[in-house]
Amino acid sequence: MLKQPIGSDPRAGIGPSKLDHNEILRSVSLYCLTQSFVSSVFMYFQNAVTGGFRQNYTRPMTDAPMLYSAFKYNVGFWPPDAVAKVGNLVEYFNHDFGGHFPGVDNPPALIQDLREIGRYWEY
Amino acid sequence: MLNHGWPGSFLEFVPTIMPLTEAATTTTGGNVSFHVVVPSLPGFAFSSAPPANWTTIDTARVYNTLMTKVLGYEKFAVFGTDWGSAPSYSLYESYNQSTRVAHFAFIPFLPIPRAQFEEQNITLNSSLLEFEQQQTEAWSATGNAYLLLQNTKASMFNSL
Repeated sequence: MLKQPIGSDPRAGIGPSKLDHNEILRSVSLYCLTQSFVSSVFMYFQNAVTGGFRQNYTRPMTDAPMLYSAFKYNVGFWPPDAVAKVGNLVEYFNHDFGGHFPGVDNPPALIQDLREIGRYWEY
Repeated sequence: MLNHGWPGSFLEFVPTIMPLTEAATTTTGGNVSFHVVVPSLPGFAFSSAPPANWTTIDTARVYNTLMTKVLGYEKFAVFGTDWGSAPSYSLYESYNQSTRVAHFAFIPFLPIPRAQFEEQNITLNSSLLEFEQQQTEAWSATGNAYLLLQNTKASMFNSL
């Protein structure tokens, strides 16, 4: 078993998790071979002033539905009452498996949550 | 549109892409399948580095143009996680004619400290929510030194 990466379910690579050594090496290789590590962190300071991550929770004008998926080991956590302050929250899914990279940490759960978008889509 | 974060990439979504394109049902029995678009954030993988003074608001503007004018989707749904939640939220907030559903696994807001929960009417009514709150508090206490480096000393990485 892998040493637990920050924000990742300790069951990495087990059950629904695709987060095995190969997956990590693939991601590291992509950053390395495209020489994009430095440019990938530009975003942090470029948005530090304009507030990429904001302090004030305000409700936008849009009426569009908003869904949220929480995963047990994610480093970032916003309770349903907090998420509801910033949008028209219609679903809050919470999963006891997975973490910060749900598309590899718990893909079946993310896939099903994304499919629920269909319930709120107006053609 | 699925938007990755840092230190991720389009690879984060590879296991989800094929299943999402296939015919499936929602939990209420409706038919659902998707066209899936997975852009790389500026500066990531094969995407060019962001110009000076570029923000995630600019990224949202470009993504809206990509979806509507380039790819021809009059309306679309967006999913965002980590830093990908910032342009995704800007799309939700500022392009509501085209962004008709938004879905997040992370939102671009600083988490509300537990000490303010009562005045902000926030309750944690399950052991899973409580566990998750403790996880994020642990990250804030001992897991986010990289964040300070990248906010203030990013060019240092050039010399490593």
